[in-house]
This record gives sequence, C-alpha cells and structure tokens, in this order.
Amino acid sequence: MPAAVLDPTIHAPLRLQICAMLAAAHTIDFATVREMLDVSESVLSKHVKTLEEAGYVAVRKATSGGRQRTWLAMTPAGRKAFAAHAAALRALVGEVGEAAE
Amino acid sequence: MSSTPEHDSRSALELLQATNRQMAERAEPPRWYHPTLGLMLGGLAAVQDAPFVWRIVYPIACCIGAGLMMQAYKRHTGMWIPGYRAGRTRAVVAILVGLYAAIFLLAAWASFDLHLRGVFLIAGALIAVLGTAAGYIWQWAYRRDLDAI
Repeated sequence: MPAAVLDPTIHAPLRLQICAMLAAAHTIDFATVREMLDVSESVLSKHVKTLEEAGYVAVRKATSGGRQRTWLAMTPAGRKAFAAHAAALRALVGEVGEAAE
Repeated sequence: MSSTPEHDSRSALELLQATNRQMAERAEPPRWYHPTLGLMLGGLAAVQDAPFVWRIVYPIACCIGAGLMMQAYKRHTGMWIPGYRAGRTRAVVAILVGLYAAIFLLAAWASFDLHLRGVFLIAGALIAVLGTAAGYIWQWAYRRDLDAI
C-alpha cells in the first residue's frame, strides 16, 4: 500500500486553515479570513504569498462600496492539492487507527 | 513531501474539521435571503399572468435583484459560494430546477390548453415556497458537505 504523503505547502496549520476556507467557498475577503483566523495582516499576507507562489491561491483586488477589498480564491491546482492533502490526512489517521486495533 | 507522526495528522484533521464548522456558520445568509430568493423565483412564474410589459420588466428587475442579493451576501458573510458548487448542494439545485421547470410547464399547459385562469399565480406561490425551502435545504446540504471532510 503506498504511503500517504502530505503537501508541506499546505500542512502548516494556518495554511491548512486558509486552504480549508478557500476550498469551502469560491472567493473570500482577505479581511474575513484574517478575522476568522484571528491573526495579523502581515502574518496572513505571508502565508497567502506562500500559497500564491505555489500556484494554489489567486489574489484579486476589487473596489466594492467605495473601498478596495482583496479577494482570495483557490486555483484548480490548489483544489486538487488540498483534496489530495485531506485524503492523505484521513488515510494516515485511518491507517494508525487500523494498526492500533 | 513528507510523512508526519500520528498526533500531527490527527490534530491537522481536527483543525480542518473545526475550520469547516466555522465556515458553515459564517456562510449563513441574512434571515431575509432565502424568502426573498423564493419570492423572486415565484414571481418569474406568477408574472406570466400579468400584462405583457411586466413579463419583460420583471425578469430584468430580477437580474438586477440577483446582483444586489449577491452583493448583500458578500457584505454579510465576506465570501461568495456559488449555488451550483459540487457536492450535495448541486443535487439540491438540480432538483429545484427540475421541479421549477415541471411546475412552470404544467401551469403553461393548464393556462394555454385548458384556458384556466390564475394558474401561473398558483404556480408562482408554489415555487416561492419551494424556492425558500430549497434555500434552507441547500444550507443544510452545505453543512453536511463540510462535515464529511
């Protein structure tokens, strides 16, 4: 049975949460992600940049209601990588559970 | 790529599930959202019994209304989730579209072939209730989709 492998770009807790949020929606406002994660703008920017450089997240700026908002969306490659990562997590936890029985 | 110890994977999976629960709560629209959407959909059928001009004006107003609702949802939740997203939610939308078409065609048949009056109004009322219910069912299906991860 092939070993389940985790994507190190996604696996860091904050990036895992960002990916989970983006996988569950089409687009999310940067400010909403920051509020939900309760982190500073600079910390979130750093993690978003990592995901963007990996080609997993797309960043778009748009003016809405007279103010500029930054919208984050997961790319198809990001969705694929996140789905594989979540499946690997489930497999690892499942394998450990089976081994313990 | 690397393997991680058991506790790391388990805590990551728990973190993922907690984030999904948080997302499901955050994605709840304002109270008026589903009833308004239901009324808009029902109106599209009901307006067929109205004078011709309304049959042109109402769908245009609906398109503008849909755009405004999308903006309101984004403002309220800080995100956008397409109704036709993959998962159980897509089945809810497909069933709603199928039922909408069936009711609309039945009303058209009763109105044009049987010359019954007011059937589009009844169809519109039925679709409004159905559309509102579908909104709440969609929300439930979304929560289930996120719970399943």
